[in-house]
Amino acid sequence: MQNAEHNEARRKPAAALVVGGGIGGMRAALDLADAGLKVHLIEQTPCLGGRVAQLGYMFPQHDCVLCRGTPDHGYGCTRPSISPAYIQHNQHPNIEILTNTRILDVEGDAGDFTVSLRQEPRYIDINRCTSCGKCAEVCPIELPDSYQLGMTTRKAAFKIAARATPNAYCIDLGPYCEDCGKCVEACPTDAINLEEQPRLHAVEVGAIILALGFQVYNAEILEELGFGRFQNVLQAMQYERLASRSGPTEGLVVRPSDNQHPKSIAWLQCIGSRDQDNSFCSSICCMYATKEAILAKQRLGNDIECSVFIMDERAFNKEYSAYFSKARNAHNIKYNRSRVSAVREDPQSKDLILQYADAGGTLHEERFEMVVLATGLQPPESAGQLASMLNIELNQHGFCETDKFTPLQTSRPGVFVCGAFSSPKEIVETIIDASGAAAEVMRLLNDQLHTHQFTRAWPFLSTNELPPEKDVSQQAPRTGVFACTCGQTISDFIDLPELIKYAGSLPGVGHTEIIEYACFPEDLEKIKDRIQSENLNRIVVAACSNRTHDALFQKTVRQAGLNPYLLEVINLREQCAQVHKEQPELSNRKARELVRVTVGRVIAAQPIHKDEIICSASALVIGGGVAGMSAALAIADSGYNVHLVERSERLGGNLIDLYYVAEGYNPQRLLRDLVNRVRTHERITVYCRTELDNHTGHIGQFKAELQTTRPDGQTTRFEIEHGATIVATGGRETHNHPLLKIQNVITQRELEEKIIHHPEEIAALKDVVCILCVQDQDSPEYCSRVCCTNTIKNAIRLKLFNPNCRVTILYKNIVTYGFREEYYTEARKLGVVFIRYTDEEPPEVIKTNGKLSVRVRDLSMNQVFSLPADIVPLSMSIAPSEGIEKLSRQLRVPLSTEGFFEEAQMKLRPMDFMREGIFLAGMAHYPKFIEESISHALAAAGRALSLLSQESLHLGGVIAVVDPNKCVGCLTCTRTCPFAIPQVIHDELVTGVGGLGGAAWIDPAQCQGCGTCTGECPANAIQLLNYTDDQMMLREIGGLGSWKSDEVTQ
Amino acid sequence: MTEEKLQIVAYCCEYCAYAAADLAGGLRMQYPPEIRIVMLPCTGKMDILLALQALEEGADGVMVAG
Repeated sequence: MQNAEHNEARRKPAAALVVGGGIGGMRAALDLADAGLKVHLIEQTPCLGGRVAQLGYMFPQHDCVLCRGTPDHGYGCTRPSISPAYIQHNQHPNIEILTNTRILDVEGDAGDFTVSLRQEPRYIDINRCTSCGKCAEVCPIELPDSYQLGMTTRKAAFKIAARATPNAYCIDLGPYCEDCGKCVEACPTDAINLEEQPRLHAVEVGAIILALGFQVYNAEILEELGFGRFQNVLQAMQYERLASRSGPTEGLVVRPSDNQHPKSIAWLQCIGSRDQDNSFCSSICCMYATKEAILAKQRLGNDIECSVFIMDERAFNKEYSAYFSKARNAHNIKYNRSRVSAVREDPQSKDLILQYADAGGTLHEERFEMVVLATGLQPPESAGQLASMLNIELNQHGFCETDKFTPLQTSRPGVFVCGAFSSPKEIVETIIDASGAAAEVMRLLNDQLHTHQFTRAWPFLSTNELPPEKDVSQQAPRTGVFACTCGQTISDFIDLPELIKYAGSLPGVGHTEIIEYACFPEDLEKIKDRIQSENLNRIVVAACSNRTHDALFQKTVRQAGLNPYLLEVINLREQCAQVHKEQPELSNRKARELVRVTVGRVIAAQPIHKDEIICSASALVIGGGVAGMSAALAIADSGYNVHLVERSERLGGNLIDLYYVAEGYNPQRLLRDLVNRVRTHERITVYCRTELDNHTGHIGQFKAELQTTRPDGQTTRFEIEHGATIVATGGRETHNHPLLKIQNVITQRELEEKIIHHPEEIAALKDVVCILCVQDQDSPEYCSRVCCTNTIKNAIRLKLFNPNCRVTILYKNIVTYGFREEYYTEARKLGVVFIRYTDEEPPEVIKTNGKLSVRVRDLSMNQVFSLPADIVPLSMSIAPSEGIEKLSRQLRVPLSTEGFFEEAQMKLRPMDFMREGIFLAGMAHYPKFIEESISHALAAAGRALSLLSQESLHLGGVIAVVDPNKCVGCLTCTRTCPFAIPQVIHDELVTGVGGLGGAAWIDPAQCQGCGTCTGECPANAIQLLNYTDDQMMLREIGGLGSWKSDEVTQ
Repeated sequence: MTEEKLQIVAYCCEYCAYAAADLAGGLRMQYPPEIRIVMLPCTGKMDILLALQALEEGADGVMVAG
């Protein structure tokens, strides 16, 4: 037997290791798990969430991090535990979370690694911890709370955040722990074991994703700024905690010296960025400082003075420019173009005194009650050690080295990187990287996809075979009510014997019982057993929050043969016992009331089933540029067919006209490589000169009608079926400006053409004046993101051709974020002159006697210069490709205010559309560098692959259903649906009110279950399953208004 | 009967306000027990009839949070 195993080639592991449990790691793990790979997600701290878990709000929409990206389908991965796939009792069956864990050693090669891990003890069994908090109550040790950045204290027995994942306490058994053992005694579930030892694990994985994140720059290094010396100088993460609703002051910022709300706050930008020691830009600080300033205005009042001391305004993503304008104009936040060199403190008032020079060079002194240092991003602490262990290269700054054209690969095959570990970046870029890195892993492990199967057939994730469902529709309701003591967490405050006595008196209740820990296997078995022995057909569990425990109890009743929707969970712990401790009588009455109404609701409940659909195992990619080709290759390499549609006669898109990049790589080589691979790939069918004509269907089962126009003008139409659609229609340099009519005023792209094809002309140039931020006349204003770097790239070339050529760049803001800052530095070293202009006084291009010159005011000297120019290259804005409006109508997906496609959620779902099964990649989303387009394309491919690899999908469930007999065809639902799903369908067989042919129809495969249409329908013809009027209103028992259970006498 | 506070029916979105109420529990923040929280899948589900019925059946106020 052993020999036989030896002879057979060992099957390579269908598994991946994700290192780092922040949003990047969580997102990547989820995509891989959905694709049927086993994922070991390791995190060195005791909980998931990373840096994002410490933020309260995200720029630019000020979405609370909590509530975004969390539909039933498990897309979300934001706060610890809010995503359904990371909720402890509904964790994705393919994800294994190992906290407190580090890598010890890695052996093997791509496709087959063996990784040794060491897990430090938590001293608390997460399966037995109920988060009752008794260990922390008795713990005598107070320590600075690192989650709150030391601004409050925590115990040695603690939970990092109220909503941590895993949802359990841990014990910090450091030297300060007195080993008193009080926590062990206090723990009602015997979950604590102070003798626990570190555990060694060895996991076999095919690939590794490094999602290590970053560490915040230590501002104490810059002593002159007073951080650590002056109480009211904070670093940005401290401010984030103060401004967060879950922070030490519940979101109202106070200054540490006197706990008063500051009346003036200054932000100092580029702390640990763009300086001699850290020559890169941290990319996110301009935006987060603006967010923090707006939050101050919103919370503390508009009369708070907020000043940001800034070098350039780097607002280079979707709607970020508008955000800056809003900050400046609507919130009156002041931006001073100055770098402050020192902070002084008034020892009496603890106010801070800043000295700065304004744009004209005049010195000012100003007093602020608080100073926030916009600290930059540094490579993660563990980077060096991990890099040498994994044998991967780091760049000169200590971040992970990647190639421009393979931005998610490290120098070691099979090891991928995502997020801020490869360069400073924000949430949205991290999410893109994460899904993209997951796609790289799927490509590598293509023969292993769908190995570990799971199902979303039910409202919970599951793998196991479940017994057949019992049909209880003919039975009279017989409800079992189980009340959980949760140790004493509930029973100390709620009189459970009285409560179940009351429950037993309610109609339709057939069994009542008190259980100790409803979430423990013993008691779950008890519930299952009672369903059989007592012949129960409805279940009510009064325990913890249904948000965290619904899935667990639903699974339990389903295992006993009941439909999971015949269960209701009463949130007795979080929303009764824990919040009304001072009023026992009233909280007992509330508990009774909850039981009364919930029993009524469960009796009105009906079974709900999802529909299973078979997913078409191919994808449609629209657009044959770098993004479209990269996405097509990732999907095809993973084993699925791709239809690649390109409007022009040639693959390549913008890449065709790109000859070199700032980093020195050759984009033409990339172009050849991509086109050759696409053209020869057996799984990719390329349709050039072809456009989409019609697109119908839903996730997993789309149909597209395509039309090819041959050179002779003849057209052919054909139809394809596919499971997922990727939109990669790209962008273009605009060419609509009166200046371009003047001879020798050209675009940057035309300059690049000249540099490559007419170097002799370039070498002869003596004066070149580049103007940045030239907006297409008809388009809204936004930062086109790539122009600064491209202009600087060309300026450097001009200087290399002819060092005596005077190159001047007129700019509003230089946006060379990340490591691109180095090219800005290099250009200045080469003698390129940078002059800032403002919108109030834009540069003028003048032609006199056939000679060009540019008049511009130099703000630092406050003097107007007239610069002679042989040529004037303009950086024209980048707009989406033509025809985007038509495509958006065909696909029924929206456009943003800037005219690009609008993704499902700006920060957390940048490659998804709200319409499921359709994904977005590249410049169709927003202007991007090549590497960013590739990452985005891989992300879209990864999302599509995690869908295609599931083979069958379960859709529907809690959805809105129209009763055609009540529908008057008024179209209200079609207008109110945020997802544009309802349609009024003409059907002779269906007769609406008044003999109207047809009625509204809501595609069950697309409905998101928000219920907006049900509330708006004037004929009350739409019901949301599981929230039907019968279940919500409970008219017969008076389910909503004043409380009907017995009066309280005290 | 002792003096009672107003009875409020709070319709809360599952993903934000209802989650926030859970967080309040986790943090042991205290609030009056007269508040009845009804979970909605989205505040879009809010229906004028739900508000009216609550008032009709004797609630002193209705809150929609999401």
